[in-house]
Amino acid sequence: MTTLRCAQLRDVAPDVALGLLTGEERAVALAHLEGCAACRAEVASLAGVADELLLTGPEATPPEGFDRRVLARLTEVRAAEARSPLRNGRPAHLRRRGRHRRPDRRRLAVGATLAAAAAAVVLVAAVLVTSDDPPASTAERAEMTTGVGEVVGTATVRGGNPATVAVDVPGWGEAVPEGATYWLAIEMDDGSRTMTHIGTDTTWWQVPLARDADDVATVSVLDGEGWVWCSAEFAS
Amino acid sequence: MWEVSDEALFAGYASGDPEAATHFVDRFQRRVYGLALAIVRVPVDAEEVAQEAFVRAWRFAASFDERRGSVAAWLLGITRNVALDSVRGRGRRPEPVGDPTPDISVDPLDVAGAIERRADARRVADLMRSLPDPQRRALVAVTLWGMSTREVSEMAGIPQGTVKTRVRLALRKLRDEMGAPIP
Repeated sequence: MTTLRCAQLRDVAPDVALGLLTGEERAVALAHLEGCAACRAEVASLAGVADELLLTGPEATPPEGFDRRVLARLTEVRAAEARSPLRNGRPAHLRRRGRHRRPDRRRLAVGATLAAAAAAVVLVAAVLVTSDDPPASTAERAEMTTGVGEVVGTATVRGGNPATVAVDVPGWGEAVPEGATYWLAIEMDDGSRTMTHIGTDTTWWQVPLARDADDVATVSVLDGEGWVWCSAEFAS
Repeated sequence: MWEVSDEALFAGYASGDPEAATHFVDRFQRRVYGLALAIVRVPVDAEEVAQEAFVRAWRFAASFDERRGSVAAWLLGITRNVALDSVRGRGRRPEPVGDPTPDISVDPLDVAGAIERRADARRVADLMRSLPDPQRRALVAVTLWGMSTREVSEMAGIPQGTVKTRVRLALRKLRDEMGAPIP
């Protein structure tokens, strides 16, 4: 795979911010961004400006009854979430704590695009399912919680060779649309992150780490757009 | 009662307050629908995009950070992303009969007196006016009209590389003028 240097990324940073790159170009750019905080900041600053430009956009009168239909749809969405055993009627993304206290929408959006391209670029971890668990004494466990603090599962980091992260979210299959795209994101203390595609047909995943188990900072489940669905944090 | 700030109104919207939701949608629906229509160009699709934008704004409310920009800019950013997804999802740009593609020779800053009535848009509009005309038109085409650089190239009859250069220069210049948001 082609890799970019910072100077090359800076050249196309406006294209990234405006979503103008497609296919392999975007994948290569996002692979660089995944490991470069300085370039992420550059893209984020340009993306913020791009949003401001939209304030000058055209206005138009929507069709009659638009507002009623929006409110009805919101009511439906809220009701659907209320019926969910995991979401409990509130958006799971209403989270303001720890590392994600003030998530950068654009950075998450980049993460989402990364997710779309990740299969070809940065996925480094294959999901393993095994019953040969190491001794419990080497494991650290944290609760996976939604944005409203509801505990929906657990994340377990185990030392070993390789170290692993296991995530268990009972009720997952009933809580998310069948066949939807979700990602397991493992963020390290230094801000690096690996992402692994997870399906909706099982409730437990295990991922090998290329790093020491003590380096794990946050384990998150992201939806197909890169938004945090639930997460667990580990003391560094 | 509802002469409240956008941010306060959005807080009520995010919390699920029905009255706040009513006023939030009322306050922003023309801008959201207008941008959606500019990009997808088909009214029925624009309504779907606009509805989805409002739903996503509620669903992803926690990601809004007022240090990084206004509620309006954030909401319109969502709208643009949804609209672009809609257009790309169909694999082609819709060109309905009687609904011509936008004339990129028309600068919205020249014709949209409404901008002057939007306090939050005046500053960025003024900054956009300071851009060289070719740069501004290229930037407007890819942001407000949701066009690709290739489409702009074909419509304007200039090389795609030239369009890219103009867009990059324009966005960087605006960022430098506006000051970088909090990283």
